[in-house]
Amino acid sequence: MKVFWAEIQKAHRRHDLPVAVGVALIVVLWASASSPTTADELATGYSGLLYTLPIMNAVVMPVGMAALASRIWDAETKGQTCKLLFTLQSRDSLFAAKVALGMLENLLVCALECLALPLLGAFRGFTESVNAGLCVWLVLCTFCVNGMLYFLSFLLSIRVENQVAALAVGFCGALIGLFAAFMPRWFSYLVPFGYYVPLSPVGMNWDSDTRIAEFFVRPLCLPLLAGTVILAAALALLCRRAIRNKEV
Amino acid sequence: MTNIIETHDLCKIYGSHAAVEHLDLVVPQGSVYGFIGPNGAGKSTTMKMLLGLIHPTQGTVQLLGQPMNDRNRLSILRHTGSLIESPAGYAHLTAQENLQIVADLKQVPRKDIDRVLEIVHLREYRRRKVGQYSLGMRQRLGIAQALLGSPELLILDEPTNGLDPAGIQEMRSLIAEMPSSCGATVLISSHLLSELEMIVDRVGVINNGRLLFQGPLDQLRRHSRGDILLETLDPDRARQVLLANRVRVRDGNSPQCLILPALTDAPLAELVRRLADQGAGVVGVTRRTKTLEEIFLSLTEHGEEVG
Repeated sequence: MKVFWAEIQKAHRRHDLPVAVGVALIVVLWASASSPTTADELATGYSGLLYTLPIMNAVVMPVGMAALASRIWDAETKGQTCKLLFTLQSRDSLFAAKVALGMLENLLVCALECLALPLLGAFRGFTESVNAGLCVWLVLCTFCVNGMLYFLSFLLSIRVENQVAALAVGFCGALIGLFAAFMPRWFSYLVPFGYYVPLSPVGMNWDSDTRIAEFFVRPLCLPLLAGTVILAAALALLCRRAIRNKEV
Repeated sequence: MTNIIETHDLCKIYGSHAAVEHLDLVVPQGSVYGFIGPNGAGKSTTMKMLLGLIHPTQGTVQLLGQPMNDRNRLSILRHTGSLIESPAGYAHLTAQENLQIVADLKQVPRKDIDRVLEIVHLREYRRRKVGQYSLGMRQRLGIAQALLGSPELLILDEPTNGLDPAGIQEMRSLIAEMPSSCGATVLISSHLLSELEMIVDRVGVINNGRLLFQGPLDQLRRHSRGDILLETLDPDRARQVLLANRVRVRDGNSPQCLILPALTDAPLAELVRRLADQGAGVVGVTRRTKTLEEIFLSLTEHGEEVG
């Protein structure tokens, strides 16, 4: 517990909390701006939101997670603190504390996004009833994909002292992820940055002649979620190894 | 006297390069031990091995009377303080906040922070962000972090690096007081003998990863004693007197100057008295101190046994 408390103390004045809230806020504001207004659209308001949020997540979250992960490790790089910390605590405990803090921030982002769903619906006057189960699935998938991207950025931050590397990968990942969202389904499986979209609980049929969008509930893609978790775990192990082998 | 640090056959090899070779370091309790060697000699590598920051290729480390291993490393290091290469600190936090983190991780009461800030004269700057500190202040903060919890052993790697002369003087007196004020044994490294000779009582000289000398400072001083420059009004007479006393003489870089081999204090005083009695007109006697490199050469040439 003391190592986690130390991690919390390090975050003081580093403004991690505003960054995490900001990441969620960008998605929520974007979703709010593109919310439906007509009566027909309001009748499928939540379905539309559950369809568009993963696409927005695919754009914002890779950069957001890279920012959060690199800030958490950058403090040690800039402060040249590893050689001191490794005499005070085990390398594994430092890793665990940073993962705990990162996952808490991830949870905060997801919780804010989840909280925003009914609030947005109420604010915009959606007439469709909210499907709590689909919302939970969305939050769960967002959390897992965010976690995987967090570990990827964290690994880059440990390996490359210049934190621009993690952010640059985040930016590129966001672009590729968005591109993959509109590609055939098999292609989207190849781009982990965009896993938000194939894990989305809602799909859409777009009729270009009538210009009518019809939303439908998709079967939950459990194998992809399991793959995401396995990938996240593998990246976490690589992060732990990188800290264990870090030269000081 | 017990030894607070003992290494046996300590080696660190990177590929084909041996950074440290067969090092048997012995640091007695209560001493200020100067670890001297040029850049790249293996000082930092040794200190990192002592702290378990890097694993030795071969050999053992015993700290505070206990053989150190992965299991007991952190519990042993709880009684030590260290400053390796450059001071560590979170720039966005104040000195007080930085020390709180270290105190919590070391499981030291936070009230100890006041004591160490007082020792390093940073008390009035405690609420200033470390990012706004000068290098000297950061070094002192590094020492404060090391002093938290009144450690039995302080391992300081070139703590005066980058400091101005006033800062070096301040750091020097701070370290010299450690054994008496805090009861700590100090292992301090430097590439300058002159920087340490005023504060250490034992020294270890390392070069190319090998310990060339280990022992009391006085013993090393015998090696560092260089030639003597004798300036006289009558160099010919002085030369006759010196030859009569079987002292080898070389010409200096001016007609009035002669160079004598290294002599200890008593024979030198006797020689000066005789020169004066014989009317050689002694104007000046100057000991030429050897540089660290010359001491290394001297140690190597004489095949000095590491004691």
